Amino acid sequence: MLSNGQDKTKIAEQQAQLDEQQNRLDSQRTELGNQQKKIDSQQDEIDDLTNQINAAKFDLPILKLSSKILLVALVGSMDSFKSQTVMENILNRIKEQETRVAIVDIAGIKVLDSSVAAHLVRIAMASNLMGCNCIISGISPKIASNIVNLGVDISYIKTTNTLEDAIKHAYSVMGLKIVAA
Amino acid sequence: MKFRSVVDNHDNASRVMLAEGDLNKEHFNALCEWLAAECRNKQVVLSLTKVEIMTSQLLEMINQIVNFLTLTGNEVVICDVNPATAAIVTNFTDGINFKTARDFKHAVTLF
Repeated sequence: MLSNGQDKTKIAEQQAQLDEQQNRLDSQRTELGNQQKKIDSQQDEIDDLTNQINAAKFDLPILKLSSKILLVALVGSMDSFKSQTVMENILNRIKEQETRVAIVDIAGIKVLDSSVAAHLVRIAMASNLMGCNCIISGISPKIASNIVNLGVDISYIKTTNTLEDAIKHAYSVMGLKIVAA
Repeated sequence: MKFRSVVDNHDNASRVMLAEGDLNKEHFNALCEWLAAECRNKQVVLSLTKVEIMTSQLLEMINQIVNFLTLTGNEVVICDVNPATAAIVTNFTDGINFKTARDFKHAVTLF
């Protein structure tokens, strides 16, 4: 049988062991937290790299119709990241080539949500700011509805139903006219 | 008061190269008065060639300068907006209510 004093000593020893284990657990928890942070930051880096790879894979043919007219035909599916890339490429080309008219044909786009529609409006606005007229052609009823639902001012954006109309308008802006040979 | 913005008077228009440092609220009235006195042409081209980093406050100031010059009887065109600035501006505004041009040469054709 243990005496009262021995009981107290044992309890104190056990308490000390428990405290030590608690401290070990706390430090392991901190370490885990740090590792989680490291994993999160690595995941962010992977996401950035994936986006960069996707952007590199994303071909954006910007055609020069004349010295001052550019044509960009968007095809397939669009997302916010792609539309951001489109905007950057178009604006840089406008600057480089002193473009007066940029035609963005979206007839080949299958799905276009409101965020991409907002990006299209931003492309037109940014082009206008740089002194370049932007024409958006091939707008389907669904895309038109998405743009209208954004509730932004679209009075400065020229839109046409077909690419042919857009090209005619672009030449008319330049003071030129397409005539049959 | 000394401003870093530069005013060149040409035959067809006055070109103002706005300096980022001049666009602050404290000196706004003085800047407008100075611009009105310096621009000896009723056609004013505001060049943003010296504006590297656009913010919503800067855009607001530029808008106010355009309004001031318009109200004092000038025609105003903004030019030399770089691609990065143009992209950033679209984050701050839903529409543009001033004339824009590529460069000074293009701007004078818009008057």
